[in-house]
Amino acid sequence: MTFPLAIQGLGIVAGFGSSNKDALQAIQNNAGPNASMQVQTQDGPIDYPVYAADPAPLKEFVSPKKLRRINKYSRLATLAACLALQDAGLDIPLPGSNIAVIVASGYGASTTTFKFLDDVILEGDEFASPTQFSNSVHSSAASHITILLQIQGPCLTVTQFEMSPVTALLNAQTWLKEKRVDAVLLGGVDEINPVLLYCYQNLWSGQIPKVMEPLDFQKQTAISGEGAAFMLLTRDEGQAPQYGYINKVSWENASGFELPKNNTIVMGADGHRVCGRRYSKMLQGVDKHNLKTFSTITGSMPSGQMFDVVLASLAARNGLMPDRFCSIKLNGDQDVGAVYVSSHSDLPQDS
Amino acid sequence: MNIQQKLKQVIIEDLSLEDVSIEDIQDDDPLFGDEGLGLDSLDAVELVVVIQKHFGVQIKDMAIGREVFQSFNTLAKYIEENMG
Amino acid sequence: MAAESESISPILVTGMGMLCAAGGNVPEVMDHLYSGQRTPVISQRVRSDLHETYPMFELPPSAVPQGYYEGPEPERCGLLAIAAAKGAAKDAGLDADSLRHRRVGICIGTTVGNAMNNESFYADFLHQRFPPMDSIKAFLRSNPADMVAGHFKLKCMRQCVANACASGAVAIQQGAEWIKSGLCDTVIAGGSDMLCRVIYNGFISLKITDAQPCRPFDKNRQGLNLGEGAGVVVLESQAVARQRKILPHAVLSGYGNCSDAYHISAPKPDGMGLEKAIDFALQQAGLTHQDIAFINAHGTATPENDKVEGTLFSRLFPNTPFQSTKGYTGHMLGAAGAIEAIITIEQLKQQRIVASVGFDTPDLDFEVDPVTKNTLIDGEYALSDSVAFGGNNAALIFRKGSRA
Repeated sequence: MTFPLAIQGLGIVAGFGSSNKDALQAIQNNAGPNASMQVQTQDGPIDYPVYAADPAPLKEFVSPKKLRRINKYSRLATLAACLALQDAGLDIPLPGSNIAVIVASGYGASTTTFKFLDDVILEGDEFASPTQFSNSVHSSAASHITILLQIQGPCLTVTQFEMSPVTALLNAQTWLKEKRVDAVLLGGVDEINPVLLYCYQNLWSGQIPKVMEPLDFQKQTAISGEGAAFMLLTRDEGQAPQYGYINKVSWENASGFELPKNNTIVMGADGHRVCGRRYSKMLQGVDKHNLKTFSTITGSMPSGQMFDVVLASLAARNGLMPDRFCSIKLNGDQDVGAVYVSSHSDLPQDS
Repeated sequence: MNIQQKLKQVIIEDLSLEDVSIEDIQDDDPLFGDEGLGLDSLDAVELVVVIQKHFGVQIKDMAIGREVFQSFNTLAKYIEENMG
Repeated sequence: MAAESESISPILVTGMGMLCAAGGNVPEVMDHLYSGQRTPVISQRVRSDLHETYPMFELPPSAVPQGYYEGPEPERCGLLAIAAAKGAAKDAGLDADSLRHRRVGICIGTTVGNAMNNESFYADFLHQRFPPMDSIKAFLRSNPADMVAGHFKLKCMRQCVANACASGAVAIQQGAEWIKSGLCDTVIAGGSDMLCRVIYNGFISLKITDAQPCRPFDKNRQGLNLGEGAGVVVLESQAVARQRKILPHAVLSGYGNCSDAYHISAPKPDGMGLEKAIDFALQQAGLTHQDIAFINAHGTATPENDKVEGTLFSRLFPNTPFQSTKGYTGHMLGAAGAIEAIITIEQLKQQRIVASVGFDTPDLDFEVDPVTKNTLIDGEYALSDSVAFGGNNAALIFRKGSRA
């Protein structure tokens, strides 16, 4: 759908840190995994490299008392949301605002679901924790954002594997186009845990990668990442927004999809060999200098495209890459998510 | 450690009251509302599990819960009377 | 917002399909409801080691479609969504082939359908028994929106909405948005959820389940009964429906989605978020409170939920008949909003509303009571609302359509 979304602010928390400055440094230094997590396997414990994110700076925005029951999944999302609002020059909280919240997640609060099951499995059903249960639902991050930031507008959580960010953005376009709200606080969030790494190990067993090489399409080099990447989006208000515009968002069929010309391509490839083949096919004939990937600094996660769009917008604003780019993400064999960004607003074709 | 003390400790730990210490809590402090610890409805049902886990004492329904969750004193008394 | 409603092509409901403990399709469910019967069971499939048992509205095994993969457990939610979507597409006069020639979107609300909550896999993991990946692979293939697309062999836009117990209602809203904005011609939208141990233990731990059949809006209500099922509607613009010469069951006249910004598990006592959502829906539809012929309430039968709705209705809709149908279906979580939307539309069509089962003694905390008999109505518009965890509130307003 073609409808310009003005990017008013960005907020990101990932393995490299939780500020735009941290993000720019990570982009320039091509920062790699920052931690490791142990997973038990039949052959003994394995230390997996990971991109682990720390939501601790959230305490600068929200009093610790209000955070006592809130899990890491929701803290990551709320921190990135606060950073995006701060970057847009807005004060927190925002009572009375006409803002919507949209959260995209692939895995949801699975760590908390497992914590809930720990009590049930190890202690018995009567020890099921209502607090863990309430925080285990995918929607808990969006709910905590509305509660902590006092946002009373519409709220939506979407989950559709790798396509989650694109469907989130399409919903934001519809709400802004119809003037349902004045702004949308939108982001992706995913979290890692040992269960996920155990699945990584068993689904794509082989050598444990030390660094991600997303453009080496023959190799399985995905390393799990976590964090949250948010944007504050508004309609085109005529004043050039600091990060330009998301002009078009589209869900395409891989079979008929062609990469746009005159755009830097931000590839969503994130070290999964099975996807790599498809990315490689799509990239035939594309000048490698015209390609960017950000998965090497965030790690691999289903909501990764949101991180790509946030980091590319930040990089473009700071002269680290051209300011007209298209973020591409593949999902399975058939789906392509495409997000077109530039410093200028393209006239909407369908209005 | 007596029941009062242990109760304070498990409530602080299991309800993640990070900024509260045992010394801050008076025996007759209410558990709920702004006057006391500021616990809420979700803490109330969590407390049922916490009490069962640490003291083996069951609070069968929330009608009993409302009675015994008045203050640390009332809850400690209930635990004492019902411990096996 | 009211001025805008004129410029937007009305969104029509041209097909409906549902299944739940009350029946395997739309007529069966409605017959069951009008008959006043209800059949909660003590599940043999979903059990806990607790001394008490809690009845649920579970689909009988014969009503659950055959699985595609290895046993119906991880994909149950998707299978229910397929069954409802098949019914809705057929009702709308669409088959897989005709759908493939349209710009279709699939938008399914669910709470369990996307949760990695496979208990036996996790228990094996926890005890270092190193479980194989079969159940994880099944999980990865069991996204309900993907399964519905797979059934019709559609390569189309898909989305699961995870707005807790308002998911089904919100999925219908977002489906409507996709049509209004020109993204899709036709949207298959609704909700699907299944009973499982995580949900059972979770709701019991919150102390909001009734060991008896639930009693919505009754003074002595003790909580909800869980249920499962799926409800799916086909949404189309008026232009597309006219072109296809299909008459609508209803028009989706207005909808709202507003947050309480209050608490992770309790509704805001003054119902502020719900009131805002209803106001939005009324404004969009260009209506006032008096235009609403009846309300299908969320009415879970928890003390808190029913008090919020009862208090709000006393103020906003003091003379409007209302009901909760959860006494017949149980609380179907992410499916509830969608199934209740269909029940609402059916009652508008028949101009007769179902008695709110389980109600006996008025609650003096609010001034309104649900209808206790099947009641004839005379009106064009009805409201269905959803009140969910985390302060997610949704409202849908339907106008009676021209389909008999």
